[in-house]
Amino acid sequence: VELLDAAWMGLQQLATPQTFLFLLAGVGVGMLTGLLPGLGGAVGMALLLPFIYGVEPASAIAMLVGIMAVNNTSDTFTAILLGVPGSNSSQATIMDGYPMARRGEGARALGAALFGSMVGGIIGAIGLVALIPIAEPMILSLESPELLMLMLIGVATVGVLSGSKPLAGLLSACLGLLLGAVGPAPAGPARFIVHDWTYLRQGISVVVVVMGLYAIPELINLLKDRIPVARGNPLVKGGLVQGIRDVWRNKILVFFASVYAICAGVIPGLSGAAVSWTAYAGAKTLCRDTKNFGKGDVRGVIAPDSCNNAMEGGQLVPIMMFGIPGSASGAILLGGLFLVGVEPGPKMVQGDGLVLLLVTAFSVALANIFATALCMGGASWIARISTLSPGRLVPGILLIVVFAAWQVSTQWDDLYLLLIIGVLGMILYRRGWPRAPMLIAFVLGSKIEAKLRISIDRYEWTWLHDTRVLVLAVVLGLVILGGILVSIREMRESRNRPESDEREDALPTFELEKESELREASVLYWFAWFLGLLLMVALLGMPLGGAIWLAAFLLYEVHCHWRVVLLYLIGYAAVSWSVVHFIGAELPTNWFAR
Amino acid sequence: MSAEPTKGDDMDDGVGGDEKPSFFAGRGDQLEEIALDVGLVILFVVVIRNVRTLPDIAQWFPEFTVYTGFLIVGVKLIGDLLALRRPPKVTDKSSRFL
Repeated sequence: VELLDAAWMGLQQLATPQTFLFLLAGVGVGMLTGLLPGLGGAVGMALLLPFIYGVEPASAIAMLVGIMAVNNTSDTFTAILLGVPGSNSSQATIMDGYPMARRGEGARALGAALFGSMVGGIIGAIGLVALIPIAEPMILSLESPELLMLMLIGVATVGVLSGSKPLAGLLSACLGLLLGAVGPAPAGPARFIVHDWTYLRQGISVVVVVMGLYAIPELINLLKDRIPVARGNPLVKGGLVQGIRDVWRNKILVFFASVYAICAGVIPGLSGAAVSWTAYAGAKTLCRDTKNFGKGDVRGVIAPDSCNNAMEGGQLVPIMMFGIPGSASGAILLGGLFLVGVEPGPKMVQGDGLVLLLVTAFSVALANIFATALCMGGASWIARISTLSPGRLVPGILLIVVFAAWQVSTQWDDLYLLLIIGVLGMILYRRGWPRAPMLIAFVLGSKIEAKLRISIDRYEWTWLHDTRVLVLAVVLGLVILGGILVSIREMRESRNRPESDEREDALPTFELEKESELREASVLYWFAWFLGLLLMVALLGMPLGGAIWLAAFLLYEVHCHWRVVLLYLIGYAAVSWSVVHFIGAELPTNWFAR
Repeated sequence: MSAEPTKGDDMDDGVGGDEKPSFFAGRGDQLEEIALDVGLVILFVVVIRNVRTLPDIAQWFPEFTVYTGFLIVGVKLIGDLLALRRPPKVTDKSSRFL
């Protein structure tokens, strides 16, 4: 009865115009970031994070969950039509989707993928709700010591499982915990690791860390590699309905792939790519007559795509009910929840928390329905957007990044810190160290420390002898030990392995526009452009300095026609003016005027 | 199959001809990884020196994190140093970074 009441209240909250608009904004940004290769859901969430300050919790949840839920829907376009994955999760879709498109069945593959995604997303939302009564007694029985151990296990598991370097993942998590320890200690006057930089006495904002770790490296990488795009317009003609019929014909496959994805999504650290590849492999093993798999079998599209969207429902279980994110986007969602004053964990299965949890589930379902309807209705237009070079959007997005970081405390220190974390993010990206463990550990750092403090204050050290804590400590030890052993084995094996380039792309075929158009300028070269932006803003302020930098970038690097540059500048001026006058935000002023 | 770099291979440090390949040739990735490990060790040392100045329980959490980090980076550094005994990669792309 409580669940039904909460569901009704959740629906009412979601039906308000503000929440509904935030959900639509999230769906829009999620679709765009999914559509353009190189821009993942984490970057989209990072860009919108500054705009949720002071917003109602239901609206903030609707927007962030909206991005998370549909990112895997629109990435299907580039995967099927161009053979380029919009995000890592859509890699498996290429195996059969791209061959189908090449033999003229692109629309059918798209229809199957989109409808399968929607059904998978709805099953994921149902799974999230269904798990509430099962998880509730367990969550309510947990106290601070157990929650502390669970958080540490979550961080360690993500460190070991994300990426191919478990030790690097664990070190990345350590760095995140240290970053999280900067600022005031929970329930204590002490300040950690601040030295004499007074700005850090209040701690580091999640917005700056997310921007520095994710947005800047991804954007610079987009500029550096110039992700290849296909020529022409891969027009989508008819066949979408046939794809929907295919999903209906394979409803059992969709159901099992979705249930598998929900279970896998609960485990922190498993990437969308790993889950969709295993779903693909499972479909290939369990289905009858699999000789066409890899050559354009629609079941090879349905299984990974329904799995991708259902996984989001599973991922939300540890985030919302235990406060433990399993991926970078989950960590950003958690950081966003903290920003609007919502604390996921045991409070989420009772009272107002339960209503917000159900708002989350409804948002997942609605976002999937909207995204599929939009993609199917405007498939032809969206297919055209997918041929845009994401590099053209980079200058505009970089300006948003600088603006967003500035909003944290409207001091130049925000931008210095953005620069420092951006360099750290680039180094980790360059070396292939996973960044998700660092972000998750950073977001959880203060919570872990608070739980440690509460455990010691309440039970002194006796909590370490509790059976449940001991069992969890053994699990934690095994996870860390497992990571170390796997790394040692990898090192030994690689010593005996014949020469191979580990960074070669494992994906099958990419249709390149022109090999000569792929630039191989250095990271430092592109980083210099970013520094140039900060310098221009420092000298002339955001409106003028940003505009001059934008014009120079578009003319010199993107080789835009002067009319396009003019349009871009008019858009920049209009957005800047609106932000100042309607939202009341401040733009970075020049360094001398501070 | 030998992975030894041979004359005419695509070496990133411009080593070729009749000269004996430099020890650093083709080891850009490994050296970058070791540099990052050493950087972390230095960072941990700086952090622990600052944390030590803090009073009471407040220093436990960062201390615990740093000691765990020392343990992991130690294992990793040993592994990375041992990996230097391996023949260098002939397809090392490190030079594209800078």
